[in-house]
Amino acid sequence: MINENISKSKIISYIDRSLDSKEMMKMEEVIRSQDSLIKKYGEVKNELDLISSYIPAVKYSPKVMKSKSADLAECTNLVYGEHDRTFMEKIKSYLSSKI
Amino acid sequence: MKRQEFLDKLESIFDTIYEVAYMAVPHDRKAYELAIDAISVFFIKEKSVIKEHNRQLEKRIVRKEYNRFIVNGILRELVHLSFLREHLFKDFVLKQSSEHEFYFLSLKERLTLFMKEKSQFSVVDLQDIFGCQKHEVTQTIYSSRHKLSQVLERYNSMGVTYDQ
Repeated sequence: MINENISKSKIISYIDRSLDSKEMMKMEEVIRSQDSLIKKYGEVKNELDLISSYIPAVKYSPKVMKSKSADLAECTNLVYGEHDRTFMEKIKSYLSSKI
Repeated sequence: MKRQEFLDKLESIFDTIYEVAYMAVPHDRKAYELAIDAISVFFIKEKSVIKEHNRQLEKRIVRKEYNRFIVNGILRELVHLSFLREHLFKDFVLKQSSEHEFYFLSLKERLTLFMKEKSQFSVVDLQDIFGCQKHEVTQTIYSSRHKLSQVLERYNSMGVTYDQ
């Protein structure tokens, strides 16, 4: 017997995919089986999407990002070490730092 | 994995790291520094593990799991550093809160909600990143959504249109 009274929090857990795989499948089956639940699912989803739209956009500054490649190469040195770089890589890095 | 390949991978995930850092501190330079510092701390701490994983990559297909290890590991350090530096970010957050109600949320709420909604991390990943139980993650997501929906209701009742 399918339970028609699925709570909002259960639908949210389903949308968030925080249920285990067995429960996810069961929920999907239950929601699909009833128009009222499909409607409820749509309403909850819209509400969550609206809330999500309140998260502001990330700003990128080209000036700040300019040193990204060099800084990430430095970080890579922490794992691989400067001596692991090939001669060509060292030349490339030297030239790019001069441009 | 060769050095250049590793560097390419790092470049490809950097935006994800930077975006989360920006939610901690809405200032491009500070967020950039936070992201780079988190990467550095993770690499210093886990150097031998990363190298070991690299060797295993040549033997079998574990790339997806490897990406998860790197991204989650860096974000774990980022979260930790964000809490340590929270007092330094206060002014930037306060300034932004006049334009975006999102910044009224706590640091943990901002980071959790952003990673869930925008970076599309699963609850399991968030458990790993924040080092907490599933119910704590879901509770944080719930409370942050609840606070933002209250803002939405307030705007609606005032007839104000919200622009990002």
